[in-house]
Amino acid sequence: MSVLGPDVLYATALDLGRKLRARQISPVELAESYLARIEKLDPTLRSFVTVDRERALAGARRAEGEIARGQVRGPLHGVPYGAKDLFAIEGLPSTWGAKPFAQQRFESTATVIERLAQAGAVLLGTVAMIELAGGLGYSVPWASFTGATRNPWDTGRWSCGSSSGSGASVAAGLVGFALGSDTWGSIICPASFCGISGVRPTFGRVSRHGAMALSWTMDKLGPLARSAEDCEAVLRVIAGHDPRDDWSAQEPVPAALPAETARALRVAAIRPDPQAAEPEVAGAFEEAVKALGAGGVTVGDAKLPDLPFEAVAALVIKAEAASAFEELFRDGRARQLADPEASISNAAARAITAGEYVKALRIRTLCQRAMADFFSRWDLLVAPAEMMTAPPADKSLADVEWSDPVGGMSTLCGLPAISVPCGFGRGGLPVGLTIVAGAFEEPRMFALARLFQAGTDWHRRRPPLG
Amino acid sequence: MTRRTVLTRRAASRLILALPVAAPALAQDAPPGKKAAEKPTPQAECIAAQEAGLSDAERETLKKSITGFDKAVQAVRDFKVPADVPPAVRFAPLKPRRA
Repeated sequence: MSVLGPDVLYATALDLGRKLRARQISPVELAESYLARIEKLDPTLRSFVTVDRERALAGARRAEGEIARGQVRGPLHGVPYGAKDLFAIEGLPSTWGAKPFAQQRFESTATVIERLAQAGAVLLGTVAMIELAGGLGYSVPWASFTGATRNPWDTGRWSCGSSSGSGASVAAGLVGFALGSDTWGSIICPASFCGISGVRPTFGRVSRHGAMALSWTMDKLGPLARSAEDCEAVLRVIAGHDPRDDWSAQEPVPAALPAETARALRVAAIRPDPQAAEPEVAGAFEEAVKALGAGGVTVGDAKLPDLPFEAVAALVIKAEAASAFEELFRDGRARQLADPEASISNAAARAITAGEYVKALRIRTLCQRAMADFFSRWDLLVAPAEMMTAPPADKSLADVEWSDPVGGMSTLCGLPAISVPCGFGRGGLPVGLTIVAGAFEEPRMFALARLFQAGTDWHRRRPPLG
Repeated sequence: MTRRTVLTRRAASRLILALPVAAPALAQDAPPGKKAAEKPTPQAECIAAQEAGLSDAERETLKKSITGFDKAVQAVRDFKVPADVPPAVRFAPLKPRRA
């Protein structure tokens, strides 16, 4: 069997699906080719935790037979993917990126993994993450029991976290797409740093049944892929109500909108604080706004409401994570964590009183109301996804200036966001553009993202890996 | 409503990524020539003193972390919330599960 080259392996998931259905390539050939590429490149990138060759080839053979018989399950049938290592998957370890859970296994399978299996997608294995999805805070890129995941654009740089392997594996052409989770920036940041597209859906849009809980009121699951259209296709498979998740929304999954409809939308630009953003990032953002204008989109200037979004988000996550991982500290296993300062994290959480947590949730109500009002005047907002490009993989994050007002606002309010590549900054490293929509208004967000990608080619650029 | 400051915004966003680096962030925001370690807050002193089983270095790091945290979430503590604003979570009584 021939090994497929990068031109095929870097195709979008939807293109791969089309090739598979047209029987131009076979699911087994495709899975074998990704497995060979993982074997070749991943010792450097460290994006995978467990490669399940047997399961992958069994899934590929099943897809091959079904497609041959004309039993097509959908656009992702036969497309290989990776799942962040925090999902319950029967027969596979689910390490949560943390040494104390290195041997953890579940007898059930997460809803998102089940839904992708029903859609015929082929699971290659689990991909790396920051330990406990960064819920205890982390001060170094190697705060994971598998070490720092390297950025395919420059292997001396970090792929970001906590969905580190999801970002790197997609950018390196090791998978067709990946699943990640985002409590605050854990999909958006890896997508931005790795030059790919990544979506954090509206809170409740995707079932979290079978996924590690870090913050019950903030956790979301979503796709990372090589185009916005791919992300939309994956989201359509994994979205929708699930009675096994108490927080799963009853909202129907709406139909996709044509990209052209974005031209009629009111788009607000939130310009970055010049002191917080790298000049190259601010420059790439301005070019992206111009590209939207060239595509027929009218972009106006706006500011976020003056509310303490980031402080509230920080407090809520810190308090909920302290509860989620309480046992780890009680029985001393926290000392096994890779971050040098993780073991004191829970003690630091004692600085939050019960009254402060409730107060933060009350301010959150005001934040939600203010943003619902904002999105009655605007349909979408755009901003730099991150204020910087990827930092070194082998240095502490202590000197990294990290400002994320739009991300703090949108994750706190449970709003959907996408990051799409919009240029390159320092050292030729990718820069992301984020588009945020009102709650459950993902179709508008995707329409603008697809229109942007129809007029630009940043998402088609490949890192120098061969 | 309390206005946010850049210092609070930056320090707060760091807390999620790295609570222990909040204190250095605050030090960087200090005026030139005043980058010496901040005085621990009373809460930081209190919690660090109560926590058992820490080395001296860990106890110092904990003090810095809590001091940074205290400063970062000051915007929450100072914020005046009208009494009729409920928390952004809903309690829903569960009906009996009769067959």
